[in-house]
Amino acid sequence: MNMKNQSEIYRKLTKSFVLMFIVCFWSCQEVIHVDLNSASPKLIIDAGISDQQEPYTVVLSQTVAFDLNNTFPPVTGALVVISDNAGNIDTLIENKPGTYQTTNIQGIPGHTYTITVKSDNTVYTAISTMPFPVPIDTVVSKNRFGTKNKELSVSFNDPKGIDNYYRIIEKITYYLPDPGRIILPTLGTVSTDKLMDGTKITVSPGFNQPELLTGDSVLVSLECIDKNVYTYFRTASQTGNQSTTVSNPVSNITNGALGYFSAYTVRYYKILVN
Amino acid sequence: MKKTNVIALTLLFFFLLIMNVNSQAQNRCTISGIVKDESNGEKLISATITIKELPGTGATTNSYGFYSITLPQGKYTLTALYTGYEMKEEKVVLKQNVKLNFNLIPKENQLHEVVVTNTRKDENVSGTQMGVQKLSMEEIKNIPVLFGEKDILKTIQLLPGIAPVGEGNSGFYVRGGASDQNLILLDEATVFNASHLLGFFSVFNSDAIKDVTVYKGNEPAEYGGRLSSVVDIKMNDGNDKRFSVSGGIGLIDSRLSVEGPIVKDNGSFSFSARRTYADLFTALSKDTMVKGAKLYFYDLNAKADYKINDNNRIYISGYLGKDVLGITSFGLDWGNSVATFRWNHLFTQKLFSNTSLIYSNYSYNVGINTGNQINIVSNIRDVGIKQDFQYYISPDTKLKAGLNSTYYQFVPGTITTPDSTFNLINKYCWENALYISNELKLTDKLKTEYGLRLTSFSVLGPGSFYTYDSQGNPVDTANYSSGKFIRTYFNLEPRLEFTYLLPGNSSVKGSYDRNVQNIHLITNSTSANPTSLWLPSSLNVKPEIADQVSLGYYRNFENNLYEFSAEVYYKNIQNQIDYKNGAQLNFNQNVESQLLFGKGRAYGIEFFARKNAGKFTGWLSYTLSRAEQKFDQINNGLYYPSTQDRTHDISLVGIYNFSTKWIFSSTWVYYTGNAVTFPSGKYVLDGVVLNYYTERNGYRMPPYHRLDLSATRIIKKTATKESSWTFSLYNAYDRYNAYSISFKPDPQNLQQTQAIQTTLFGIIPSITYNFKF
Repeated sequence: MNMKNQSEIYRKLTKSFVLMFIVCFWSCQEVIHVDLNSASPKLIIDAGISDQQEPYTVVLSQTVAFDLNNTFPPVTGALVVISDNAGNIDTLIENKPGTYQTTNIQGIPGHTYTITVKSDNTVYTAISTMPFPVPIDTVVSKNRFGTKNKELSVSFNDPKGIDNYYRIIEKITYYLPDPGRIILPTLGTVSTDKLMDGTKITVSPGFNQPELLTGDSVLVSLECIDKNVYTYFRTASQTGNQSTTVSNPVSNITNGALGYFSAYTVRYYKILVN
Repeated sequence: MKKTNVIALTLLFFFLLIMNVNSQAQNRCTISGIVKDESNGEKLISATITIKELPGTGATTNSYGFYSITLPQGKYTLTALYTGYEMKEEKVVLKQNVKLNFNLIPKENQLHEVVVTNTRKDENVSGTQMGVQKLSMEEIKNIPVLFGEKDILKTIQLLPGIAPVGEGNSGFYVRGGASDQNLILLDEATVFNASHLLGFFSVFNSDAIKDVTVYKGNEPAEYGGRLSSVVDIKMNDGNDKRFSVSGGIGLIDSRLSVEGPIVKDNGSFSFSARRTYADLFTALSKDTMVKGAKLYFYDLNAKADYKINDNNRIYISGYLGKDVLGITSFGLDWGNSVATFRWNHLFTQKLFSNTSLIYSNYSYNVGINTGNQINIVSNIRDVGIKQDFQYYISPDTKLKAGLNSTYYQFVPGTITTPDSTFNLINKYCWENALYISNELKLTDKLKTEYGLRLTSFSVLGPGSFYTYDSQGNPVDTANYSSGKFIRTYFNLEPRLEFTYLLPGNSSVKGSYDRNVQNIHLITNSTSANPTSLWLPSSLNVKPEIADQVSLGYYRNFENNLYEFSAEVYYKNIQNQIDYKNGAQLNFNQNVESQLLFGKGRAYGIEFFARKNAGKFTGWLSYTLSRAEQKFDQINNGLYYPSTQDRTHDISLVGIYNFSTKWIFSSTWVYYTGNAVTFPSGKYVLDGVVLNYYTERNGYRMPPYHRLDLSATRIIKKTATKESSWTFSLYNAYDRYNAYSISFKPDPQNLQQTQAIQTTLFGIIPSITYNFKF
């Protein structure tokens, strides 16, 4: 098992223990109203290029005030260009408001990609290098610690001699209708091969993944990402409310845009939860 | 500090010293001795000795109950005073040096005393110390706290300038300093983690404690090592007259203490134990996970002392405590162990010496079994020697000097899995301090205490030391062999206080102090996390330095029945530590790359009014303050509120001795919520709604307030036997204070996001039975 992942698990276990202790004995939760400021809108760049068949899409949107509905205004009319270090350049086409699509560029592992977004006379750029893919070895389902739910353990063989960064996403393709069950998408779990280089790594994605029930069908994707994208997702999952350093995830995009640009490879695994 | 300043200060110091020695010309003799409790032989700390024939002249006992006073030959009447005890007079014909011990009798019943005369000296007004708070154990025992468990660290949070970290947390902020800036000493040994059960209780079993003194950054030169405060806790010596057993049975825990003579009047021991039994309740639960849970802590305190002869006395004291948490596949235990051996020696009746050998260890151990057994262990350990001299030159001047040498070993974390072991690099450090200070009465009105403390902190090999670029990537690694000096930081810490007595039992005091901290607790959580890392100064981490100036006005009314004080302070901090956005502090070899270094400032005013005696006693404390910090990388390099910034902090404490059978008490606290980071918007990414943050600590938690009530029914109280029931209500008006606020999708309407407040404790009743025989 991966060290970083271990310390993460153990941090969460500590937290869950405190929570259990508190919940069992005294604590209570209630919805309150908090007066929050409305910051001026900020650009979000949600961009990726993978080793799957093109085209790829880039979504540009804006932040909204906290009290508003989750409808995020698209950013239209931007110039979006993706290029690689082999001389390929692709200017993306906006095929619906805020969604931009590539026309010809194909993601190839080992290539370094640059995205340039020009919007409102500001230029934002990000660079990402596509790692080589790693297939999923096995996925097994087991009981989630302390609950009646299920969770998955994902195993894969880490290639020796290179630093690898992984992101695991579980997408529920069919789920058992259960009253009161709400499935919210998650950003997934990230992990590294630090201290575990070249070994078989097993990740229990746990708390960053949806709660599963027996009978669900899940599509697991294992993305190989670069270090900066790993940092983005690692910092995105640090939102503990007792933390004194809560912040936006550390992005690889210049000029203060939110979001990230990831050149990644991906392999899939389907499982029926039992 | 500039070199010339240092030289000037040193010269001044010696000039004043020579002046003292010159005043020694007459034929003088010394009276010295120990002040004790007559009923059990406990040595009384800070008892006052006054001389009837020489008003304004006197002495105070040190932390071993020792006093010494040197006077011209003649006839004198000495009076020993201590709060809660009958005063005692002794007549002395002084022709040669005299040994004079006082045995004070505790007041049987404080109720009968309506007019208060001379039971309490006006020490708060006339002493040179400022920014110092003392609480008697009697007061602490009558103040209600969570689950009826008396708690020293919770009670000192009711004093001005000392603010609680939050609900169910024994951590505290002193004058805008973080909770790791408090040096907590138990019989001189550092206690690295003073929290039990993730902060709901402190590690100090109040049955084992004799005395608590808090210095709010104005500590005398013999103390050092933390920026904000020193909490000096002394354990009971034990009863040297007779065997005695006391204890208590509460809802959460039980306590038992045994004490008695080793050699009657010359040696005693004391042993206290405490254990919680929340795990007995979890065993009754139907939920299998709760049922299998382990959840308890225990404490053991032990102390013994023995008088070899009139000039030599030895003490040995120790503490061992542990918390054990465990559920199915996860276990966490942690605890402190400390031990001190001390030797008091009188070279002459004027020269008192104490030598201490000190050991302290804090460790934690995590076990996870998710198929494979994984263990994580970590500890911080120090061993040290401390030598203190107190030279009682004349009633007007007392010289203190000493040295301290401590060796630290840090084991940040060793992880063992079935097939491998991995450990973060251990660290070794050596800290030395040399100090000298002088308490001097310049005129009848003007007193001063000034001192210098020279500290060195050496980072030793073996180990690999990294340096980082601005992005936090390691750029260089240097490997050093064992015992190699890698970096030594020297610091000179001047301490200066003065008191000017004004007419009408009032005074003005001022002080300047510098404190240096070389051991830093790395945590970005406000809850007391037992696995937080202590990090020493290194190539990247510089010593944190605080300079504080303060000024105060003190006045007592109606023969010291009421006391009042107001103190203002301003503190400036260099090399303050904060963390990068998204800092990764757990099990990170490059944890130093996650730190930011900047400046801090804190200022405020503290008001304190107290009624000291009578049927009704209590106090009101109010602090208006600000604590801010500045880092180039955060909030555009502007000053912003520290987490521990508290605008208002009010504590109201009342104890009412209704009759010989009933004592009622209550406390009410109110304080501004912590500065926190809340979102100022939201956005969507990969279908997930995320919070958008614009600045660190730009928001406030809601204000916190709470009323606690307690009633004690005394069943029996004689000189040797006591029993009582205490009923208490924590959070009597059931205020839902915010422990945390989180922002989540609304399950009723996924188009909306809501704020959810978690409250730890509503109203909690409790009952405790206490006994002594």
